[in-house]
Amino acid sequence: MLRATLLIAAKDLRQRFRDRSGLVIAFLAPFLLAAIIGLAFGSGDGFSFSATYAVVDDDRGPLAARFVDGVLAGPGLADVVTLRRVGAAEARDLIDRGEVDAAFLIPAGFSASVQRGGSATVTVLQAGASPVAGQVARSLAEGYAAQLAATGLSVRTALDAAGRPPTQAEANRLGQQAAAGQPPVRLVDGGVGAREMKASSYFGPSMAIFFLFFTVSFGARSILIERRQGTLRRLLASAAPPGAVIAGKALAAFALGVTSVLVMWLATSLVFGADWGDPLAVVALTVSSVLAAIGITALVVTLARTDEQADGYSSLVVFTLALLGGNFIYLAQLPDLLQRLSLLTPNGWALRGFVDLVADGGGLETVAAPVAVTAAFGLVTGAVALVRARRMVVG
Amino acid sequence: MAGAAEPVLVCRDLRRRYGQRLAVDGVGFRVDPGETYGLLGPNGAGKTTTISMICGLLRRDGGEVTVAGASLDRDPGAVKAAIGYVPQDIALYPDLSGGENLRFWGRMQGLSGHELAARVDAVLEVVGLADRARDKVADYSGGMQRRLNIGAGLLHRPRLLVLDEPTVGVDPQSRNAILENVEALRGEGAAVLYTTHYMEEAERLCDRVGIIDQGRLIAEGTRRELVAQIGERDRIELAASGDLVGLAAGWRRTLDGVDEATVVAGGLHLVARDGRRLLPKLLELAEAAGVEVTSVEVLEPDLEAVFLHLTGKALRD
Repeated sequence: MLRATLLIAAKDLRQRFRDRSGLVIAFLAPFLLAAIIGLAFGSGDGFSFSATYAVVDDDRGPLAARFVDGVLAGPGLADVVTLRRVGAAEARDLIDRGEVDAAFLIPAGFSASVQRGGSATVTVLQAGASPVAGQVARSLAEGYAAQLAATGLSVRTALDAAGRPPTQAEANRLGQQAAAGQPPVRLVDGGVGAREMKASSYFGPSMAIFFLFFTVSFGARSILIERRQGTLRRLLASAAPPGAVIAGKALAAFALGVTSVLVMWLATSLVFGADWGDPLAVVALTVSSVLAAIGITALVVTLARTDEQADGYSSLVVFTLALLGGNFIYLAQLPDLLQRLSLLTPNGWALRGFVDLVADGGGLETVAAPVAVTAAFGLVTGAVALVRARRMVVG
Repeated sequence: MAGAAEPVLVCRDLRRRYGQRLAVDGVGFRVDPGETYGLLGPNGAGKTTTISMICGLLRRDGGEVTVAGASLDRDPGAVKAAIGYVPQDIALYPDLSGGENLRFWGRMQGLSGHELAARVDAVLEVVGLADRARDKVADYSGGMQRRLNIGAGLLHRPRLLVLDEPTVGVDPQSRNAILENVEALRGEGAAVLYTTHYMEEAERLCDRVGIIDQGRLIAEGTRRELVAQIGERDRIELAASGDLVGLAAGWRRTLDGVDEATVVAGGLHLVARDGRRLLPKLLELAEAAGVEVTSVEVLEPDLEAVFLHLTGKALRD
């Protein structure tokens, strides 16, 4: 069994290395696409968020000043946000011309209304061309509003607990404590991909994972090809048990998949200076991702009757997983819903693992969850595919 | 060739059902060492199903298979190791060279090292492809691929070589080369199970022939034994056009000596006693029926006539 498995795997790899299109998909295409997308996202030398906002302060009260000076122009955002203080008409004009990414309109009477315990509205205008910067602007406003609400609540709670009107000294002290609260929003919020990292460090692993699915899909597809060309019958007529045929093909796909990702790691590191993080963790994440890719593509292929049909099914599934999983765009730039949906894909989990490795450092413990989840994807889909593949082989 | 030696292949009461259809119904025969056994029957008769069961490629619904003393049920590995299987379609890797293909299939049959290299060289010589060993199979002609396809089944010197219609779709020159290869194997003492629907191949190659039709083995024996079943009767083949069905029925009804009269593509086949004497009367009735006869051939009794006699239809219907 073992000998037959190794012979079939070696034969499959020999065939794969003879096939130029296979080599392009496994090694060249991910590298080139990572380079192109990396350049598109920031000249290939880095990715960091920056935005230009306009602010219209018609209130000129203490709470508006605190938002403008303490939050928007505060130390937490000083490196990434450029602020332009303008009038309402100019703000709308700047938005229309695309010169600012978003504008905050603070109405007159904002501070007074909030201090009376009433409601007040900060309007955020977003430029259509900058959805991410617009989303950040909205989050900043929502964060400040939430902090004002919490502060007001805590002050009222303190006063209610005393059971009497506050003295002047107490009122002053509560006011100072509330005003001294931390600015509510900082850019570094722990979200995936929001932390600074080189484009090549993101799109290197990202493209490696995307093309990995195409690379390993040949394993299951080759069963269909061998069935069509008659060699499967000859294999089964030799001393090879059906299990050896399946194991040989899985082994070849695994070896090629791992090699493809590791070559991508080496190439992006040498050429673009990409940092993939702790080597042991990268290997673990690579192995689990390859298992997931083999399991899913094998399952998809076993649903097909011909190798042409299998190609179609595989492409559909691989592109869907890639789009949902964040292979083509930073996960952090995806809307919330898509970020949550990405967790339904092994691509999304693997990318989280690679991003965490770079942004947070650490080793195996950092990628434990992504490794476990991607491996589980592989084992579950692989088990179902194994049953179906056996039926396909035995006939 | 059947003798006292232990048979290489014994199969008994093989059965296989596809849905409601019984594709193989109680087929059984044996093949002795050095013997070439032909399984002769039209397309769809059950030949490939039978050998697929013998080679362990298809589950049996019943019956037993023993190859070189090993039971397929108890020791399938030993049975497979004793068989060299040559499938009907070319089963090679087109992107590998001829030599690489043979080395792979040799290794799959347990060969390695010097033995593998020697056997690959020997087989390339036998199939006449030694000078093309480094070329990709995709660049071979159809006939060369067929020869290599057979060669891949010979590598491990199998006790039983199973050839499933190896000459289908092959040009006459390559076909002759393939038949010569099979004849050479018989000379080397291998037992050969050869399926075909070409009567002339069965007559040329096979020591014994089993005639299979609709999943059942309807006759078995040497050519002489089989022909004797229909007595001293001739086979008459006519190329003709017109109301052939009516003419065939008329011959059977009115002419003494016509045992079988079957309409085939482009004419009629007859089995008749003393065909040459009967010929003028046959043509006279054809003319009267308005049937135009363009050629007539009277043949000595052969396996085609046997098949016609046994089944009432031509082998290649």
